[in-house]
Amino acid sequence: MLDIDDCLQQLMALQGVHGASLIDFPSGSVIGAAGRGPGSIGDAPADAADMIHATMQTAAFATVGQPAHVEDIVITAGNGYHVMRLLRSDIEARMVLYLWLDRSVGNLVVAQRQLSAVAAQISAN
Amino acid sequence: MLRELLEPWCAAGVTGALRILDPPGGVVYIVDGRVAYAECPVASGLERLLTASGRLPAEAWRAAVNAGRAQHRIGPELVDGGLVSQPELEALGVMALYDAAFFLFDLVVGTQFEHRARHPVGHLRTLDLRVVCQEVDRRKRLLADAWPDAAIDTAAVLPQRRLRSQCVALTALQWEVVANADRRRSPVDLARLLGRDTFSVMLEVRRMARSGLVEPGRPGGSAAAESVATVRARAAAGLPTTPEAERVGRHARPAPEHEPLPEPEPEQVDTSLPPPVLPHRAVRHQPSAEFLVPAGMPAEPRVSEQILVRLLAGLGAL
Repeated sequence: MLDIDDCLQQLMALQGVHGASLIDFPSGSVIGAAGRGPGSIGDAPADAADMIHATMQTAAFATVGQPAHVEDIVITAGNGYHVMRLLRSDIEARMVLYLWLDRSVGNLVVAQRQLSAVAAQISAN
Repeated sequence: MLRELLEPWCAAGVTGALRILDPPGGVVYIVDGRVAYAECPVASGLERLLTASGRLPAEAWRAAVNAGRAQHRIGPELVDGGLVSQPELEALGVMALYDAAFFLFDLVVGTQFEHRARHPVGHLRTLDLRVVCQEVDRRKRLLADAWPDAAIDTAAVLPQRRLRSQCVALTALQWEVVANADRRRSPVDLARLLGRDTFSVMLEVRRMARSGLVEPGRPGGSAAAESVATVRARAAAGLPTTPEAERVGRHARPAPEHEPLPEPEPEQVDTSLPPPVLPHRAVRHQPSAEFLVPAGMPAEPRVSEQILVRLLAGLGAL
């Protein structure tokens, strides 16, 4: 039986991942974390939640009439890629997977595919 | 405060349940010294998050409870039946735990520890006590930043009839709140109705109030809102709750029976002051005895029993 830690370990197994976590974004609470990132650096989960709110409230991205159309958000920063993958919205918790990926070692596309696979496991039913 | 009462049990690495004897009531479950689950009647528990939200039919939950309660297997029953995934169940368990901890952790209450008591859901994610405390503090800070007056949490939510701006964007949860606000329900009532965690609804209402989309109305008359308001008033005053008030508040009862906060005796205040910290392994067997005793109960037998239980726990851990 896969649990949250297993899901996070699947993400940590990718090359160049600094940290991965599962965040409830209405409240900005960390549900689980592995590696570095939210939980060890201050307010990152709350910031991730703000980022998602901001994106979802931007009409052009949120696409009126197509709720949950935003699949993931990638921020390219000096210290790496920050990827936020929204989980399907019909499961009850409004959650997002957050991944912090090294820019030189990590592979963004592979990470996005793995995030999709893990997201599918979490909202499996 | 409750979080200080939990410290020695977690440090000793025991498994059991700390039952809160005073209103609002509740239980904190500890597994091997880590916080596994907490429940409190005024917070949204796992059952409400799953059923009131429409995620699961109430019958499906009841069937899982009937099949799994005795063996502490409600969770596995749901997961094996393909109704929720294990990660989703764990995530909701953590949200329910945080929601209850938010209301319970800063209360000064009488408690009783039951060794080896486990919650009937089964395996959930366990958290370090320090992590839970940090999250509770973060939530209090967020709420205070969004809207400083806590009375808004138990006051009727009144959406503005007309907006000054041309257009407004809401999150999904804010939409649920506005769509279900009937000008009587308070944020606490809306959380129950919607099957959301109480904290998130309180936060979204405060944020909307800040941006002028809703305003607080009269205090909500519901039993749940009254109960939260009473607990808050007590926590603010830092008082032990009395057994008399316990009967009024333990279960949500109709509002007319609600009484204002009883005036405490000065000497009750004195005895209730907890020792500030329980820092070292060496001294954790001697928490102040009077702190464990709910006000108004005969002190002696309870004290010795509690100390004995705690000593055993400490020795077992060594």
